[in-house]
Formats: sequence, C-alpha cells, structure tokens
Amino acid sequence: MVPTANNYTPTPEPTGDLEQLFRQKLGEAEVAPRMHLWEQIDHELLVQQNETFRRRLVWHRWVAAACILLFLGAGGWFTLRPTGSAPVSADLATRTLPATHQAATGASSGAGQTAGSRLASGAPVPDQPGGNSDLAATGSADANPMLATVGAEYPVDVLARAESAAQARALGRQGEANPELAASRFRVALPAEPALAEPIGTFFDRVVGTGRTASSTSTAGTTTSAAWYAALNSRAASNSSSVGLPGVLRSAQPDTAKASLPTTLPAAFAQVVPAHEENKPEMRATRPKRWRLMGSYGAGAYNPNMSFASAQGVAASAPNGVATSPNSYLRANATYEQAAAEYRQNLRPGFAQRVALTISYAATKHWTMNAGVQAAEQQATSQTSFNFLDGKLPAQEYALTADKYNALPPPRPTQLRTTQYRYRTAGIPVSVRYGSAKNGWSLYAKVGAAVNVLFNSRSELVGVPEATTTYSLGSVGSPYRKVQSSVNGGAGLRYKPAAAQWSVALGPTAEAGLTTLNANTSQSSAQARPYAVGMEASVEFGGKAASVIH
Amino acid sequence: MTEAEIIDGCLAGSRAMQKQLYDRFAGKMMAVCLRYAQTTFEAEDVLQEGFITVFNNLRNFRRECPLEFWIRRIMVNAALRQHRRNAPLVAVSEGEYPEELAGEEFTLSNYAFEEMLAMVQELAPRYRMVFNLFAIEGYGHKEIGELMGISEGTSKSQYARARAILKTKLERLDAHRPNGTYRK
Repeated sequence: MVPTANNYTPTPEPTGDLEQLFRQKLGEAEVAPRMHLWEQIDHELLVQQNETFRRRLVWHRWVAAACILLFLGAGGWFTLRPTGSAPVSADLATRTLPATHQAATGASSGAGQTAGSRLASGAPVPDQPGGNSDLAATGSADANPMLATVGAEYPVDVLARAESAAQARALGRQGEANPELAASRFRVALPAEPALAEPIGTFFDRVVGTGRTASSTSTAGTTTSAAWYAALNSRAASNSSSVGLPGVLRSAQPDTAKASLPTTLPAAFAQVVPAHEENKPEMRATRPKRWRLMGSYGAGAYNPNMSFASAQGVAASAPNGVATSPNSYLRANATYEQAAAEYRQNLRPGFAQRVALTISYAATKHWTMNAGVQAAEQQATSQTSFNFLDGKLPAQEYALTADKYNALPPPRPTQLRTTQYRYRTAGIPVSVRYGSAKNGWSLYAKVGAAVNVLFNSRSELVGVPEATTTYSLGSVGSPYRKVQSSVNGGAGLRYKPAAAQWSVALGPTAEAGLTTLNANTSQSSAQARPYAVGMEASVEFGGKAASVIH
Repeated sequence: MTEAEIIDGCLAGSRAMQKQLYDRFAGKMMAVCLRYAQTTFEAEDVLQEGFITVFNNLRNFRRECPLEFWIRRIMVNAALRQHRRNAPLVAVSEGEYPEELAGEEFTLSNYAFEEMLAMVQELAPRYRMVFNLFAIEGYGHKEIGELMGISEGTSKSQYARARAILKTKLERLDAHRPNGTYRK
C-alpha cells in the first residue's frame, strides 16, 4: 500500500499590513457603553434646554420692559409735551427787544415814576406808555441792561430777605441771567397768591406769546388780583426810592397782575403782538406732525406648531386615581406618545385675527416707529382618537392601558374626534416701518416684535362638551405659556389722498413666535414655535404737515 | 424604524426618538471614542459630549451622507476637543520620518480587539490621535495638521513613530504565540 500524498493545503488566512489590521479590528468594532450613560445625556439635554429657556426668559423680560418703557415714555411725552408757542414767544421777545427796550427806558427815566406812585396808592394804571412798558420789559429782562442796573440798585438788606432759590426760579426764567433782579422779584412776590406758582413761561406766553392770551388777560380783571397788585406796589414803594424800581417790580408780577391792565394795549406792547402774528406762519410750517395714531386689523392663518410628545408628559398629566405602577408605566407612556403624535400629525392651522392701536412717530422722512397695544384671537384644530386634549389623556384612556400590561394593546376606536383650540392674547407691539411719506400710492415694509400675554385659552373636544377646558391668566396647570413673544414683518401698499390727514395701508404679514406655546419645557423643541401668516389693513391719522396760515 | 423617521422625531423634540438614535449608534461610537481616549471614563465623556452635540445640531444635518458618518465625524471632533483640553499645545519638532513605510503583513485573525485597542490606548496622546486619524479614519496628513494645529511634516513624523511602536508591540505579541504569523 502506497501511502498517498496528503494533498490538503489549508486556505491561507487573510493577511494585511499594519493599517489594514487596525482598520479592520478597530474601525468597525462596537462596544456597549455603560447602562446609565443615556440618563446622563438625557439629564444634560434637559439642563441645556432649561438654561436656554431661562436665558430666553430673561431676554423676553428685557424686551417686555423696554416695550413698556417705550410705550409709557412715548405716551407721557405725547401727553405732557409743551405747546409750540412757548419757545417761539421767547424768540419773539428777543427779536422785539429794541421796541421794549425803548419802552422800559422811558418808564425808568420819566413816566415810570408817576406810574409807580399811582400804583402805590392803589390808583388804576394809566393808559400811558410808561406804566405799561414795564410789562413789555418783562419779556426782555434777560437782555435789558437797564433792568440789571435797577436790580443792582435795590438795597442789599432787602435782597437778603429772599427765602428760597427754588421759588425764585419759579418766578421766572427771565431773571436767570440777573440774580439781583430775580431776588428782587422774589422778594416782591412774598405776599404770595396762588398765581405765583404758575410757571413764568405761561405768563410770558400770555404777555408776548399769542394775541389770544394777551387780549383775554387784559379784559379779565378781578378784585383779588387788584388788591394783590395794590399791596404789592405799596410794599415796593416803601422799599425803594429808585425811580424805575416800581416798574421793574411790576414787570416781575405773576400773571394775575395783568388782569388789572387797561383794555387798550399800549403802543409798545401792540408792536410786539403784530410781530408775533407775522411770525406765526413760519413757525407752523417748520413743525410737521410727527405723531400719528394708527389702528390696524389683521387676519390670517395661525399654527400653534406645538408638540406634547414627551415621556415626562405621562407622569405630569396622569389623572388622579389612575395607578401608574412601574409595569403599567411603559404602556401608559406608549399610549401617551401615540396620542401626542396623533395630535401633532393632525394639527391644522386655524383662523387668527388681531386688532391693534398704535402710536407712531415719524423719526425721519422714511422711518416710522410704532408702539401700542393689541389684542388677538387664534384658533387651531386637531384630531384625536384618544380624547387627547391640552396634552392630557383622560382617565379612561389610562385605565385601558394601565391594567393590561401583558395583554395586547386594546383596539383603538376608529372614530377620530376633532379638537378645537382657541387662544386669546393681549400684548404690546413695537415695530419700525420704512416707507414713503408722499401722497398717493407708495410701498412700505415693516418689522417688529411683540410681547403677548395669553389671558384665555379654550379647548373643545367636538361631541364631548363636558371635556371643554378653559384656562385663564390665573389658572394653575395650564399647558400653555402665559407670556409669549414674537417677531413679525410685513410689507404692502399705502395710499394717502392729497391734502388728507389720513392714510390706509394693506399688505401681507408674517409672525413667528420666539417662544413655544408649551409651558412645559421638556415638551418643547426648537422646531415647535407658533407662526402665522395673513393680511393686515391699517388706517393712520395725522402725519400731514401743518398748513401754512397767512 | 428608518433613519429618516428617527431624525424627524428628534427634530420634533421627541425624547423617545433621541433615545432610539442613541441606542442605534452608541455602540459604534463608543468604540470610536475608546480609540481616541486613554481610559473608558474619558471615552464616555467624549461620547456624552458628542451625542449632545449631535442632538443640538441635528437640524444642520443635510442628509447628504449616512447619519453614521456624520455622527462619527462629530465624535472625532469631540475627541480632538478633549485632547486639546487635556494636552495643551506643546511645540513638537518635526523630526525625521520615512517617505515610505515598510509593508509588513499580519494575519488579521490573530489579534483580538481588546489587545489592539490596548496598544492604541497606550500610545502617547499625540501619536494616538495622528494614528487614529490617518490609519483608521482615512484623513490625510494635511487635514490632520489642520485639525490638530500642527504641520503636515509633524503629522507624518508622529505617525511614523506611532506606527513603529505599534509594530514593535505586534511583533512582541507574536513572539509570545506558539505559531507566530508575522512575516517580513
């Protein structure tokens, strides 16, 4: 027997270079991490999410505070802003300086003495230039060297009796450049009348500002003011021997003193008023109305774009009396997720409408800033076969899953019920608009932001009226965020008729929420913010430059 | 469940979907992290940081490549960040490096994963990084230089040293086996 050769040759094992060896062994390997690593990641994600919400909340608070401040500031300024006549009157007074200066000079050199003595005795002021030129001198006291001289002549001991710098300031801006004069005015004003507290600017306006006030004060004499005037001048006469002083003192009288002036204006004062009247048209033409009032109405489609999908939602929304044992927890969790996914899948946008009342300020020719108040109502619908409403499952749905851990999932009802959601908000919008100010048709574009408060929400399950849920601002347990913020933008056409003080605008708008509608941060994600698109119509009043009056 | 469904679920904010994604890729990514880290704890840190980056940036994933590649890249970047934190930049001279590396042959089935992982983890951090990036991930030396903030030459020389060390270790391991299969 011839031994046969062993022809078996083993298959050579695959070989490779060092890189190939490591690539094959390490490149495709799998190693299970620790069991609890996911919990750590989950926790870290939650912490990050909370931190993001916290930072966003801080930002929203600042925006809300800024909006309120802006609104209050604008409102306050709009309400309390001074009338346009005061600065112009001062300007006019300066411009009419030569005329009044001459009048004051006359009063101090000659006729003033007579007038002063007459006033001291309680006699009516004569209808002569000397007596009344003092009033005209009031308007130009800053620049009138004569008045400064007279003030300097006033006895130091008398001046020292001035009690309060604040009251002296209240007596008049004209005396600021002349302390002595201001002090003398104050001292004379010591027998205080209620009218003393009135700002001298008003007095000044009435004397040299508008013809309207001058004429009214010249005819409305009262017993009180006449008595005060007499007392004032008798005191002035006893304190000074200066010829011009009574006139100066009278020039510092509050506006009640003017009541006893004669009806006929002296020549010097009469020169002032026409000069002012002449300047009126120029003044009005250079002050266009920057503040406008705007009302707007917007309608469109709103999508809350929210999701209730979250494992945490089960524990949070499990109704009382439903046992969520560890065994049933997983089943309940699965049911909840299924219901939440169904809600999300069937979520449809609904009708939304908004009314807003804003005040706008034309900062430049093209840029306008707006702030105001708004109220809005948004609706949305979804469908559920779990009677899932507001991120909550009713007790019977839990019961179906909680006690049958080992059984097959219960068959779902095939009927889908519609759920309707309605949200009502009120808020403060701010925006910036760019557009043309010309008459006729023009284009505009705007961007803005708003902080809204969800003061009412209502959720209905069609066919199950007892399931209707309403949350108000004070409700505890609402799944919706109560303070929301959003950004918006829009563009459109604006029409302003020629020579009209109003305009209308119409255009599409879009709004995107900066915050989610969910109050529960673990149910929110970066993709689940509400949004709306629609059309907006607005009407604006004001904005036309004041017409020139000749 | 498909990859697209998982991504969509994660983007919708579903924590359950995020867990699904984690379960699907955690094993592979843990192996990646272990190669770059010196210890298991360090690897888990990198894995955690990597997954958080994944979830935070998933909306930027353009779905042009498999999700696994994208996640792997994120893990490698997380490992590099960890490396930079642990080993601040130290000036390293380029040194000499051979233009062509020797083409040894190893029997692939002779080595266990644990043995080879231990060899890589024992390398100095810089060598380990360069070796992983070049030999396993397939990066070029120029890219490695940019990723690590070193020159291309430094990357080459460090790779050559890392390779020499690993080769020595493989030879030693072979020498202790009854039938050494290493051939030159």
